[in-house]
Amino acid sequence: MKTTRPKIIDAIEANLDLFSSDAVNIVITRPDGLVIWENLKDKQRVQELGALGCGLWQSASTLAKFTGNNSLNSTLVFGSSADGLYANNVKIADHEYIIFMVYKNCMNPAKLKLKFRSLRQQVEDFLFFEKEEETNNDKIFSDITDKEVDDLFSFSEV
Amino acid sequence: MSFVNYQTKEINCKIVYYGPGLGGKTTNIQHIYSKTAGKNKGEMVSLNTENERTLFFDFLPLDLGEIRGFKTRLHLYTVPGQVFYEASRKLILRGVDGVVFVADSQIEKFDSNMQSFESLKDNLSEQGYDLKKVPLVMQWNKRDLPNVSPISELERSLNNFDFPAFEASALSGEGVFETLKMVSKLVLMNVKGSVL
Repeated sequence: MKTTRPKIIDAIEANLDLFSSDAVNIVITRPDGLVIWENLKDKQRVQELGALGCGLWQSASTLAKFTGNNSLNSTLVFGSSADGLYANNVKIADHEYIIFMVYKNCMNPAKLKLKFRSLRQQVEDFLFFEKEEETNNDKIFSDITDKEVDDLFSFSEV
Repeated sequence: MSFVNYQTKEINCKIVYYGPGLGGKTTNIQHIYSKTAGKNKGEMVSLNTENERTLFFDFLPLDLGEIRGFKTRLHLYTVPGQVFYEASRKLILRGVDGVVFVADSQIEKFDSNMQSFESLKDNLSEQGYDLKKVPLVMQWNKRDLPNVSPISELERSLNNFDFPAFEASALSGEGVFETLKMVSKLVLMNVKGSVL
């Protein structure tokens, strides 16, 4: 059974010192909304943010194609002088991730965004230089039983 | 595409509820949400219009139990059913692991069901999915209403590939979890051991 931690998680956590404040939350997702890394305190909201963030990103990307230019710089920004959402994507070959930053009461958002772009660059460099993750195409639950499925749903009131 | 994290022993899978407008997709998710204990569910997200028709999607993360040592999480989405939201439906189908097609059993909704199912086939095909291999479950919803098509008619017109099918009345909850369990089983049977 594979136990190796996904290497991209190592690449992200190696740059965590860029964001030492509790007022900065980083969420990194796949394009389908699945969160692969986050530093949120409220863990109940992780999936919600992933789904909303990726919905927003995919809609905006699709809208941008109406310009006829498929090489637009892709950055999403909502912000004031102290709070905001900042997002960018990283795409190399078949791998894409979307990085969201939510910050509050920030004295210097411009400096924070600089750190964010540095994190993005680190992730991009990782994707460019590292080998692809080993892919295992075996179906690991091909013999799942009805009882196992029923047990999975034992939490429900049904 | 499902995500297997071997270090944290977690599996994440995406299931999309698809079907014609006002057919019961959101009602399915709402029922699941209402019957799930707090610690097993995240916040339900609904992006909808003023009269509560789905505008972009509904989303519900569901933490199931463990299977063979792996914690299992489902990401349930619904798509907007109205015809002119086709672009949104394409986006929400990206990376899907399993589909529930919620058909409206009412006789007058026959054309809407057909149009929606054709749309599903086209959108899956565009993304490289083979419809015959996608974990898909049909739900014949609104069986409690008086003016419904016979099951045989629905099967003949919509279920040429003989997908598992369940009768339902999502408003009362009948058939909702049976549908979800079956699509979950099919999705899990299809999970491959890829890491990212």
